[in-house]
Amino acid sequence: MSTLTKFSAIPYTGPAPTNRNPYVPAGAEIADARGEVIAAALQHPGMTPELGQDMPSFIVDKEQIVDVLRALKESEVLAFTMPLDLFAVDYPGRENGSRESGVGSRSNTSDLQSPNPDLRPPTADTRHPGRFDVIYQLYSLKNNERIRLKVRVADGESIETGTPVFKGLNWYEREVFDMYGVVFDGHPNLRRILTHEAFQGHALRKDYDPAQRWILTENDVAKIIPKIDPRFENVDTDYERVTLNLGPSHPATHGTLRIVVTLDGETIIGADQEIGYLHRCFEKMSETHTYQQVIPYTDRLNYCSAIINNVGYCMAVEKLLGIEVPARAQHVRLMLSEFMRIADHLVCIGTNLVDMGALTNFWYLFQPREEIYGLIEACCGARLLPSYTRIGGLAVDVPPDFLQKSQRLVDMMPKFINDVEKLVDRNKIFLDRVVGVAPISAEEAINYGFTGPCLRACGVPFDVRKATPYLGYETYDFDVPIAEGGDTYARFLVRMEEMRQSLRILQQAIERGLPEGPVIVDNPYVALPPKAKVYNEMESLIYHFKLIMHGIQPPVGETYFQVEGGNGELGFYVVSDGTKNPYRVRCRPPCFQIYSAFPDMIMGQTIPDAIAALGSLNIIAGELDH
Amino acid sequence: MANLPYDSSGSIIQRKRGGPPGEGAEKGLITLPGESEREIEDLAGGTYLTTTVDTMVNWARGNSLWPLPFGTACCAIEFMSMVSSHYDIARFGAEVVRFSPRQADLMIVAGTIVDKMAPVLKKIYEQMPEPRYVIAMGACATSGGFYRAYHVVQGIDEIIPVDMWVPGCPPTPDGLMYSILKLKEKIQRGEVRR
Amino acid sequence: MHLTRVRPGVVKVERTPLTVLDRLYLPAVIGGMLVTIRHLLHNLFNLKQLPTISYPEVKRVYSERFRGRHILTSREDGTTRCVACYMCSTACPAECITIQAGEDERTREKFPVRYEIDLLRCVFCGYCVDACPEDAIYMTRDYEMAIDTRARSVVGLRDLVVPPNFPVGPMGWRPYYGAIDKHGTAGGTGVGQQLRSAPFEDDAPPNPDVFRGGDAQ
Repeated sequence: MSTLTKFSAIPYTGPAPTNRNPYVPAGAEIADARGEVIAAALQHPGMTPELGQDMPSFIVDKEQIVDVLRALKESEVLAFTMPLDLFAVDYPGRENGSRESGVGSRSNTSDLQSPNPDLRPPTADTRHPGRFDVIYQLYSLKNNERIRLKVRVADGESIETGTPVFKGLNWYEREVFDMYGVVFDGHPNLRRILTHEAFQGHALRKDYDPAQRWILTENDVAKIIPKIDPRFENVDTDYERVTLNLGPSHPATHGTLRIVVTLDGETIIGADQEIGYLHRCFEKMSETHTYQQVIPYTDRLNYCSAIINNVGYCMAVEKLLGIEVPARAQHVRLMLSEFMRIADHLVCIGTNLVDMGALTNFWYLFQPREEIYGLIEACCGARLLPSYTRIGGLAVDVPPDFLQKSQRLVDMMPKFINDVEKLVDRNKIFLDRVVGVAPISAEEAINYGFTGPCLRACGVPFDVRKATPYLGYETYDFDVPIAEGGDTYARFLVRMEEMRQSLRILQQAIERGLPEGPVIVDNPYVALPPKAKVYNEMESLIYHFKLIMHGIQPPVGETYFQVEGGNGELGFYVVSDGTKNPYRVRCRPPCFQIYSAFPDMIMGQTIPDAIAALGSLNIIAGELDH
Repeated sequence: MANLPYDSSGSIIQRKRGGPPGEGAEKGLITLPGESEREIEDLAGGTYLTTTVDTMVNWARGNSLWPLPFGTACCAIEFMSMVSSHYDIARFGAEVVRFSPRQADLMIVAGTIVDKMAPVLKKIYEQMPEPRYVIAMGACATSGGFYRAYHVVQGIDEIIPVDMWVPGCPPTPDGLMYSILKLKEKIQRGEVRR
Repeated sequence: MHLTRVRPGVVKVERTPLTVLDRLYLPAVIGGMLVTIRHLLHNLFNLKQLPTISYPEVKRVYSERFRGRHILTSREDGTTRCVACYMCSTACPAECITIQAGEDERTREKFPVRYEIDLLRCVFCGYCVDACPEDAIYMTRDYEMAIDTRARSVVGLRDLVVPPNFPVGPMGWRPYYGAIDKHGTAGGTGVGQQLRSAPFEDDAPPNPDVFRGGDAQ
């Protein structure tokens, strides 16, 4: 008997059943109630609550935003001290006076009509016109909660910069300026960040052609002269000040980072970075592809731990669709995420030690990593970029000997980790290179929006797996490792310990065994029907065609979902307009803010220190530049 | 000595004896239609008539390809896999990874090249001494891959000449080694003159 | 490196200060040497267990899900199984598949006149295999691809089509979403499929020389 029978009564026309009603987040009432409490505590006139969101959400007047940010940060009770994200969404339809948002009025080749405007979520009021939503997301370590602030800006208008309040907003504001052309008044260095100097227009605007390129020639490349840190400005020196360029093609930068430093003798007295040498337009590309097709793109964000990206994106869309993934798929996702986290740390530590001349560790660490890739390849047929998950579950069930293979990996791994520890941990040559190098204090790190191992190395035990557990992490017994000092050595220690904790999680997961059952949801509007049915049943064949032609159509709405990536909180913000392509996919890359703090960390130190510090931050260019 | 805690001859990597190197290199499908005819042509008209010195030089060049990894993205990680413990590129004289373009003669472009990077790539290519060879590794470097986007170079042959294209996203380390071997054979046959 | 518990769920990795012995450099250096020498000796006496793969004499055999180069399967009578429904090219995120459909004059069935995959664009995600409703496209375990001119990167029917009853064993990524008995051959289900009596000249004739990926024995 067909399992699809329960959907049979649904006609094949019109929006898919997944898209009949607007998106209602699971905890909307709680978020609204909490929003009221926040508004009462703050008593700020410029905030209008936006109801029915997945976290407390406010629309803030353009003039008031910096005040609100400061009040939220300085409030004793609320203590929203960490800037998580700042990005924008473009709704060109608003300027033409349509009632709301312009969602659905896309020029994109979508063969579905935009859904009925009455079905759209109850968004608020017309007091705030403007084409762009500039969205701030803050996090409170004290209360473990998030808040979303939206500012509506018209084309050509500007906002006051938030950099005096949160240093972490610096690069985000540059990114919003680059991608949307929203100007931030008072920003210290408002120039393009991801695209190049000869670029014209603003790429993430809806009216920008995704394939319109601008060619950069060598003559156009701007010269970067770093600003000298005020601490060193009037210091008497015997040396001539030299400006030195590192990268973007440099063996120590692991990718495409470029740093320009000004040296006084050997001391770094000024530094500036240029990024965007791997800006592959992830966000624009996801707007031109269907929800399912975005998954291979997410692989290529943090390519050292690709499955975590897959999981994060898929869970964001699943949250939007309101579907629950089968237990077996969740279990596999968790196990592979932990393997990927280990692989990520192995690459980070291995290459970091290579930079310091300890080549042997590279061979030792890359051997277990190769075995992890062997396991991933046995599951889904690709080593590095697996694209294993699908929205609603997994592409295919794991091979029968998955648990045995995992057990063998878990058994062999500690030997290699211990070897590396023996090689370097008591080695004075290594310790001299790392202890006290590039430190950052906990307050600074939070102000910059650090997450992940780099934040934990400052002694702040923030881990998304503990703070907002997903995939059943709350049922596992593991510890969040922290260290003190925030220097390169602390980051090394935290990563080493995190690998061991991941092994603990994996051991528990293996002991529990894989739950029986399917690996993907039984919903023909989300997951392709089994091939056996496609070949033999008319109805399944129609669902199959329908899903591939029209894609998954989540309900109109927006949501944010975060997972703990290899480098910190990896968040996906997905806006759906009810069609088969996402209206906007925002990836919150953890590297972005960590790298923006790099000049502060290396100021007053030497170039070799900077190289050692850079390796320990584990900046992945694909994630940094989207 | 104690056994390894895991069985490396187990199912993660199965080991099987392959054919001799030449045979393996000719095996791939994509090279094929007309490959044999072309070789006969070369024998008749081109390489056969070159002097012994040329043959010697080509043999030496093919056996000492010093790679410059122009690694930008995911493919660079697979390149690292190729030079790490599981694969042994040193057997073909290509293990001397040089990050200075002055000391390298094979550039492996591994990863996406975006418009911002294009002048850098060109400059580094021009700094390499001749003869210089280029392998474009992976979908992004060869054609832009699925990034038909506003900031991505649609194939590095827009910027520099390419001798060997390796499909895959990313190609496996063996796939990359195969392309190096094939390039080596091409050089030794005298087909690449640059 | 030892741990102290800060509170439930949080441990602190302590930084132990260097002892006088550590400051002498030598103990750590000798300890490190011992580790490497142990590895060296272990490898010397267990040459067969070395993780190094001597490609190309020894070839790594990837799993039967490996996503390598594509093939198109054939029916028993030698016609291509593909019905030119454009599902694979729709599902492809790289838009690397070009299909031109033709119609069989007798059976009124569609078939591909032109079926091209741009291997350089392809990202080997396997979506085309998932999307195929006809069991027609598979991925093999063949990873040895290197192309010396860009024009050769576009492979057509002649390179893709394999003979009928091609063994499934050596192939990689194949249609999943639920197990199905393949009878040991690609495209072996054949349920409800119209059979054409003879191959038409527009179809590439099955060429046994074309597929040489084989079992990598």
